[in-house]
Amino acid sequence: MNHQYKIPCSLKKLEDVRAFIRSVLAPYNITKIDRNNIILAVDEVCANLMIHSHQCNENEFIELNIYIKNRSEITFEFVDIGVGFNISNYQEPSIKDIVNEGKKGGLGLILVKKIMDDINFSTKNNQNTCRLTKKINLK
Amino acid sequence: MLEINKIADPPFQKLILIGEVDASTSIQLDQMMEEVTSEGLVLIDCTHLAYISSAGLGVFNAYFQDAEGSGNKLVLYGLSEKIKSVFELVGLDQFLSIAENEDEAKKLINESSV
Repeated sequence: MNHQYKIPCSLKKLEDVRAFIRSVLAPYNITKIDRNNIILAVDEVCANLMIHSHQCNENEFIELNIYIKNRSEITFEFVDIGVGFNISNYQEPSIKDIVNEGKKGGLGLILVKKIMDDINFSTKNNQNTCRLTKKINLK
Repeated sequence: MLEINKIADPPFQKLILIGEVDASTSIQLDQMMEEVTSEGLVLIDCTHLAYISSAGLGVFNAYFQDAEGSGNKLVLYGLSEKIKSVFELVGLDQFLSIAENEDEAKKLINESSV
């Protein structure tokens, strides 16, 4: 089963994105924490793209495709146009530095990397594709 | 959606968070935290917090460091298992003050402010 959602680049829409992911995951028997973590990782990547690649311009869009494979793997594919941010090359700061410096930012991609099993980024002709894959038993 | 209720319970300022903290609603939380952390000991009731993303964690992290630096104290309590697991994922639970309930939170503040 595959799904698609076209997301306007407004942080106010994150709530709708989470509701959409919740509905996609609804038929599957996974733990509350896994469910929340998957929603969280998608939320983090959306917020990042909206802020850093689209300056929260709600006339711009991110296309989100969701692929579920063999009931054992779920992939979230974010496609957008513009200057991409290569999340897979991103060297995250350490949690110690974030704490010591009292930083507000930098935690999002740490979360995504902890939650997802694979993060892949590619760009072609100004079109960026970011794929997050989570291996999980989707009964 | 996030609703923040502020209750004065001297010497504590209590914030009750109801709803979800994400990159959008964290701005509200940020403003409220700025206000209360300048007023002394702060308790954050997370019993009705249904969701938190890194934006919310970042706000707590920033004001926690401020609060510790200026001698004010900040304690979170009432986190559901789901919310707690997000703090644990990044390891922030090791650095912030998190209590089970309000009584424990007050005790934690009193002990550390002496």
